[in-house]
Amino acid sequence: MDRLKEYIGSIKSWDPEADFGAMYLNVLARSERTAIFMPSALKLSVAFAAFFVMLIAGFYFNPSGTGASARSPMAYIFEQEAEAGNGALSYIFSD
Amino acid sequence: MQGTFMPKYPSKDLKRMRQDFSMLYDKYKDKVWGLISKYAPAKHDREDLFQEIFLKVHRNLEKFRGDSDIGTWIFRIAVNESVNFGRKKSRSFKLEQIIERFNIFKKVQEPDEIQEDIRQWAPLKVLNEKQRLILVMAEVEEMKLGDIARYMKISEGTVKSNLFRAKEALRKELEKGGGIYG
Repeated sequence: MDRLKEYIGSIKSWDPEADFGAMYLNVLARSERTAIFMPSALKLSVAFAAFFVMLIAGFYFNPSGTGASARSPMAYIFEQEAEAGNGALSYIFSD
Repeated sequence: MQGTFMPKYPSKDLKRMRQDFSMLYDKYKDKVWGLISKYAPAKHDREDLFQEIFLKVHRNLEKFRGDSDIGTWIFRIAVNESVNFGRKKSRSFKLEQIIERFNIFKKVQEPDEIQEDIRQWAPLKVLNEKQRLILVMAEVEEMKLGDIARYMKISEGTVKSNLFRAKEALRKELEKGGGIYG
């Protein structure tokens, strides 16, 4: 008999037992656990974009005014630049 | 089976999804197990791979549009996961060889039963992931070449040529004395 056929026959007859019940429960647990706690990529992107916008807005309009200046350091820099006539935002600060 | 199963989950109905998944699991578990147990014979590998496949099926069930047979879709996932698994495995095997060469960790002696398995499956290591999978599907699981081509998204001609090359390489390896027939 051809060795290849004999070898394939030996693989074919090999039949390991499987615990399908345990694996089924494991799959469900893993899938549903991440479905609850893991946000989708889209949700994650939106959350990140919102956070980024809030962060930038915080730099521009520091509403607390607890420091020596009512504006944030970034706003101060923009203001200085605008007063010097530089930058695209100069119109905001010009009289 | 074409067109008979078209799950749609507008409200992400978890109960319904579980029922559908349970039905699919029952229907395809043996076929998928048969394929991957011969592709990845080590116990922990075949169980990991089997669960990864059905995890992907479960997670993507809501996205299945029903434009192909659900069995084909599941087998496509099984094939992709198997090939990826094989690639990861061969990378970790190379790492193990490096570790072994430099004696970083002491090698644990495998039990006789596992040693026997390693000897039996060793000849298949001469094949790449694609060839091994095609050989297992065509010769061991006796799937039709047309079906294999659909699962792997390749032409039937490519399946035939890969199968021919796989058989030749395996025959040479067996004649050389690899595996349990050496």
